[in-house]
Amino acid sequence: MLLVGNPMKSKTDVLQGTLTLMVLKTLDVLEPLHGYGIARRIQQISGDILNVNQGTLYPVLLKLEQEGSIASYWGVSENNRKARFYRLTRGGRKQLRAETQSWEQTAAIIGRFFTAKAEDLG
Amino acid sequence: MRTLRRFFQRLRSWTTAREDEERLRVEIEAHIALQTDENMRAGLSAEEARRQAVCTFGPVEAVKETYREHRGLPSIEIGVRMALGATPRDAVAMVLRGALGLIPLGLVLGLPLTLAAGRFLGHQLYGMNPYNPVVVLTAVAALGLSAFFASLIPALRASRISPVDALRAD
Repeated sequence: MLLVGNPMKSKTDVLQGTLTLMVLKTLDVLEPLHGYGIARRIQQISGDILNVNQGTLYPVLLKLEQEGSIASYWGVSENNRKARFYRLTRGGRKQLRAETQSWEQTAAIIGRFFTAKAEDLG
Repeated sequence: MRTLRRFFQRLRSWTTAREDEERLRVEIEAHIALQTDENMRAGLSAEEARRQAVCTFGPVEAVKETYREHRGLPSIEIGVRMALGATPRDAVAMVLRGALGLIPLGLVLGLPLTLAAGRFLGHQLYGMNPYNPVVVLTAVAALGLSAFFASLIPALRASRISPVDALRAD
């Protein structure tokens, strides 16, 4: 199982920088959602390959809120537990659009490297 | 404008540090409770469900530590620059520029206020010259110097950032 944002700094944490994007996209689809729900959702979407490490999820949520991308409030979960719910702000939606675009661009460039053959350069 | 916003953000996160940490504690507790509920639905005993939830969550202290790191310097940005060949001196200069850049702004806001306040106080106190340039300049120099030394500490810390750690920490 691949850990996203392992505080123990193992070498499996390559995907850390993408955690912000995953959080924003998750909220875009499922808001309002609590931290536990976000972690579960990321795990499910990835087909259980990614296990979000809460060591970075909660700090990332706090940081995103301080940057104004998401907002939060205390609420009650499906099973009557107190939980903090998060939703995207307008700035957050804008950030998501920008980050999606930049991610697609990066992915496309890397993809071209994989498909490029020697004769393409000739 | 961006520097200013970031400055206030950091200022705010310092003043609310205790509040934030308390919130983090409650949130972690809520997270573990939700995980426990789910484990119980999967058929575990209450005790075992809780034990596994705590295990799954991992070390709570490490989470808080990560959070504290996040609150500090914009280490990722400095880390990236150092990875691209910036020297520790460049890192110090970068942080100092960020902090000292606020001083002119303080002067622009502060001096007119000083003069305005002086006008008012000059009427209230006998024998006081509210526009004594020596006093004003000394105050500016003293505050500027303390701002410089105050920003030197995080600047020196910035110069010791390892690019690899900074990238991992984000």
